[in-house]
Amino acid sequence: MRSLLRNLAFSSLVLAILSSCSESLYKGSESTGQLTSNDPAEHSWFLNNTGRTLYKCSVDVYGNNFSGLLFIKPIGETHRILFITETGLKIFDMEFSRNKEMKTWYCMEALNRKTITRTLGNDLYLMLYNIADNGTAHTYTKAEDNRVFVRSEDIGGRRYCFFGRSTGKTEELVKRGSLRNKMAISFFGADGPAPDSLKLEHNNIKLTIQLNRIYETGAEISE
Amino acid sequence: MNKIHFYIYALAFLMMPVTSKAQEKMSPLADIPGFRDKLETMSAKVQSISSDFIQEKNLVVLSEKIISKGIFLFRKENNIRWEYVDPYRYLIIISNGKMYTRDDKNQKVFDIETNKMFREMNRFISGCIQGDILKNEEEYATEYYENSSGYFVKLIPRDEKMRQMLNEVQIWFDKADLTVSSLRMVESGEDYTLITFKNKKLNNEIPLEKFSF
Repeated sequence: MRSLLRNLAFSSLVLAILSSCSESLYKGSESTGQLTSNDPAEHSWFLNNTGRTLYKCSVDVYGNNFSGLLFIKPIGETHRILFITETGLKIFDMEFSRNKEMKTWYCMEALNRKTITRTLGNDLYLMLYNIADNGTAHTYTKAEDNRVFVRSEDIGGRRYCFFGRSTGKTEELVKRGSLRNKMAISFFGADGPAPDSLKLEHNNIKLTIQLNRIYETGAEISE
Repeated sequence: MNKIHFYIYALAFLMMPVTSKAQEKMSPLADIPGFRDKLETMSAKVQSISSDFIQEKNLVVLSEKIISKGIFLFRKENNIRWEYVDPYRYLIIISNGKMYTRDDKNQKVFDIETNKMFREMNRFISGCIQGDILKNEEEYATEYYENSSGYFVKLIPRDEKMRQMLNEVQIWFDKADLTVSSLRMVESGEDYTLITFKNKKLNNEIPLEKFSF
């Protein structure tokens, strides 16, 4: 019985520490109110973008580097993302919607593992939609640098989305677990229809994705 | 390097020289051995090829195209330079038993000789350039057609895993000089990549430095 109580006390202490760690992140922030339903679209780079976007994509995973092109196209309420090699071969084709429905239309067999497609899908979903669309987000002004960010609940932790002062668009997105950050996405760019570049880094797995926008000339050819 | 990587890189090189006559009606080719013989004779005479190319990636379901352009160089024996210049830069060189790739940030060198997959890939690429690929009936089912201006060969991979990525490869040969005029790689889901070659020159002087890295 004594042992049980000791274990219970220890577990409570750990829970309290974990809870306080999560709460204390960005301590000193001042709440400025709940998000409106329009806010996610206002801050996300891709939600209001009606055109296609093409990026040069570099993926570093456990010491291996892969490169290719990432193609993003909004279709109605959804977004389609394709990853192809520079030489034109399709690696994967996924479709996303804001309510976190994800459909894999195609994935090359070598990559078609649940853990891989789930990780990729979650990352790309965050890149597209940034702010949780569940009505629980609150805006805060971060004390030390007066940055505005939105905190929202996420599976297994919280999501922090920081906005650029001049653009109002997402500048940094941090997904945090109980003890430390799980992953972060940095968005770079002026106030255009899409960010010029993005860097996505995981903390618990060795995975980094770098995107640099390709500006197409629009040249057409005839067969 | 696994089999999938082999296919990715190999497909990148299946692409050769160019001018599509796809719209003209094709009829089945009667004299297939005769065509192969002529192709072999032509291949023996070609010491080098230089050409501009346009790659058109067609995302059929999305009604979208991604177009890129570059320069292709080939010099016997087995020196290949495949360089994308617009709207992104990407370089692939095969020479002296090695394969080299480079983009804005990374460069990689693979040893072809010590790796079975790369050896196979090199054999595959050379087969395309020399026209030997058409003899490879173990790996591809082939169909031959012709019209007034060209020959058209359809290759269907026999390997089911490869077919999941690539339904078929279509190659158009120019009847005038028997060089490949365009190439289309059709993927599952009907998306395809069309390569068209322009300003093609045969047997011009290409410095070996173009294939060094």
